[in-house]
Amino acid sequence: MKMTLEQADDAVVRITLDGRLDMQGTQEIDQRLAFATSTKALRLAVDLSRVTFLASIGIRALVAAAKVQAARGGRMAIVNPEPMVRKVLETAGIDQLIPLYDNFESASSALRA
Amino acid sequence: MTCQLVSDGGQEGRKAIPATRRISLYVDLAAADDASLWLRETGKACGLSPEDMFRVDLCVSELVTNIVRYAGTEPGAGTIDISTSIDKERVAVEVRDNGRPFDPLSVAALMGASTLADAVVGGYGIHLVRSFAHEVRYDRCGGENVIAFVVRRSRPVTQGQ
Repeated sequence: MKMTLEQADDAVVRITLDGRLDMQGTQEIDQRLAFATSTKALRLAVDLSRVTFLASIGIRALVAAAKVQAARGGRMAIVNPEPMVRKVLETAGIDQLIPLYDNFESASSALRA
Repeated sequence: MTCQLVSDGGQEGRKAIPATRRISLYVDLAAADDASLWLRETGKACGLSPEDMFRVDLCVSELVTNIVRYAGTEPGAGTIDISTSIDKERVAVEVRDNGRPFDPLSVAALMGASTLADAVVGGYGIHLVRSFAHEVRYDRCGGENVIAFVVRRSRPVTQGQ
């Protein structure tokens, strides 16, 4: 599992995850994700377009990051999940907690609002 | 490697793997990933669609992760046995463990939170199994926990395919 972090525009930080968010993949990025999302309030877009598999341990990492951001006054969105990954998120009710957007531009607009 | 389907009777000239395949794993942190890797190889050999493969992979990953967390066995003593049976219409999977009796299906259904502040970080796994498998049941049998589930194939294959 790869994770890249960039200042995508003047307001929004984009984290791109690439690989499988299963036990191994989540362990590989968990500490980096927690550190990146817990130090300060962000407008954060998490791009899942390259994530091919999502298990509950990956959901756990995403929800933990979103909760920390909310507690710090930040906001987090999920961008462009693959159809089956989206289905997992919707089935678990995560889309009711962390908004999903089809592309970065939509997420960025919403995060700025 | 090609797959002999349960119902086609093993036609001559066709390279075949058994329609039912099994793997045994120790209860440890690598079990879910090892099970997933084995399943994906099995599914690829049997021509499962990506969606069907995702469903089976997700259910097994969640069940094995659950066993690793709750089996309560000593290191090296706990085992997980997984068998898959794939035919034209469905994938049937059985997951057995020799841990303490535990019916994961008895866990109360997930109650969705309306805010992040109220949301629990975990507890999604069994809900996902219930949702992504088309049938699932639990038995305690011969000192083992046995979870059996079925995923109906989204694109049934025809003979000769």
